[in-house]
Amino acid sequence: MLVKLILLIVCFLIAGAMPSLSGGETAIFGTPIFCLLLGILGAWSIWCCFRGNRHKSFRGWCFIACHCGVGLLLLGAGIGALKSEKTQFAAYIGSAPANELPGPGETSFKLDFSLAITDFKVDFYPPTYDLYEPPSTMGDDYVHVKSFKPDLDGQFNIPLINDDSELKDSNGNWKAQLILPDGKLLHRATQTPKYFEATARIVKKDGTEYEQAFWVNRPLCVDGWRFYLMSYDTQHRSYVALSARRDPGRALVILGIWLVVIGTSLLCFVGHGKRVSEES
Amino acid sequence: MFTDVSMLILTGFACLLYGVAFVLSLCRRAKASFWVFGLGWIMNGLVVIGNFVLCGHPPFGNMYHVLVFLSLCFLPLYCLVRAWRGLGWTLGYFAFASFFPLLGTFFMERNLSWQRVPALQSPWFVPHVLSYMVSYATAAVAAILMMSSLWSKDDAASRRFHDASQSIMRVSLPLMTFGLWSGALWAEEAWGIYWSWDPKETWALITWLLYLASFHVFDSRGGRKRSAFLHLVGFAALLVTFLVVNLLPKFGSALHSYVK
Repeated sequence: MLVKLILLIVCFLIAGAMPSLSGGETAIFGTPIFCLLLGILGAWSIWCCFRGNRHKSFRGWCFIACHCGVGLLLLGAGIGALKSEKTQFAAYIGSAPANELPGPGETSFKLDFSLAITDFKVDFYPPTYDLYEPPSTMGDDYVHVKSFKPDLDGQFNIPLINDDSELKDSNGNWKAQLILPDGKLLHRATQTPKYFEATARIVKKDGTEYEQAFWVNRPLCVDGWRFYLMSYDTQHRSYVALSARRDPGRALVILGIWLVVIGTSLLCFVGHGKRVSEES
Repeated sequence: MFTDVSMLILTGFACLLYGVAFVLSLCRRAKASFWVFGLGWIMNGLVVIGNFVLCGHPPFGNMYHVLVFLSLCFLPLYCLVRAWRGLGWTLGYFAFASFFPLLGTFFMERNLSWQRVPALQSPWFVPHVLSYMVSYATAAVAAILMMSSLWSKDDAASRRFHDASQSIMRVSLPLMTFGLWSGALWAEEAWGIYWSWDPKETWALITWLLYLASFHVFDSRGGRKRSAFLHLVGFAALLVTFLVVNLLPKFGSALHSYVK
């Protein structure tokens, strides 16, 4: 029965993973029937821990850990889906601290503290350069010939450019464009950010305030809210795009994940290894 | 030292030696096969070191890097299952499994420089990718053994292949589990969301669930055949996760788009 349930969930997952013309294939994962199947799987996983005398052996405890883990993980995810508060917004750099976050639509979230972004810095990888040929007749557009990316040694190897330092201005920045001796135009295309970091000032209700830097993979955590640096204003660097989330199910999900990982490992490595060595 | 040509020659030699090790194991020259496999592994290791030196960070930036590393995983895994499970006779399967990913690298672009976007600069990066690599490597060998089990007409041999495959999957599954769920923890740290139903994530979950189902039916009545079937379907899903999602633009994975 459990296997049938898993296979049914797999069927839903395959349906949601197949590309569709409308691009709305993942909508299936929000349907009540799929959520119900996951709920049954979670409940089943926890229920099977209490069958038999599993707690009497080490292997049984490993079984309980990984199956309870699945249940807790799904429970935490369910709580998160129903109860979490989340929003994405642009925070202007240098603006006054605010204790309200703009929510989806007209809604907003009231905070127990105020937050302002005071600083932002970004560092880039070397850019890609596009080579364009001048138009053969007046009024036509330049024709794109080739793109040049730095190779593994960081060299562009652009014909007619002997040294890559010619691509940099006196401040050491990559030039936006350059006319080559043969009349072709070299234009700087996108630059991939290597690292970006924002600094936030947090003012608590009791008046205490402090500054904290945060970056991608290192969210800012304040009073249960977590702020994630997602992106920034690439044109003028005037704002950063933040995602904020308060998720009461987070601890359960993390606990569930570690129980699944540790339980499965013990069940496969330790428990089974011991059993086989005893048999042999 | 690590130039394009030298890397190509090293890769070619490693691939050739893996092939020779497989042939030797077919000829029941186990000792010679092991040493040739080891020599191939050293050359394969030099290619991985070369990639590391050339790109300046762990070499998992594109499919070429990943396949070269994948080939490197098989010999240590063979030593592990030989010592731990007594499966010394599976050497040829591991050599065979090492040969193919390395052969595949000849059809990949090798000279891509990789710009690690900020989301990838995380302590989760190496454990997540490494656990998946080792897990996929072992799952590949387990699948070959499972196919041999179904192919074999002799009942005892079939059972032996099946048990060996199951034993090897017991190494693979925990690592796959860690890879899958460490990805979720990493996503939560980077974007504030554990799961985005990205095609790569969804197929990885499908693969994991199919292997779990295969384990769950194993002990039931008539479970061996169903387990073998689910195991092979799981391996097919693994191939979709590993190759199809990355290489076919229609399956486009936005969050894993850097693995080209």
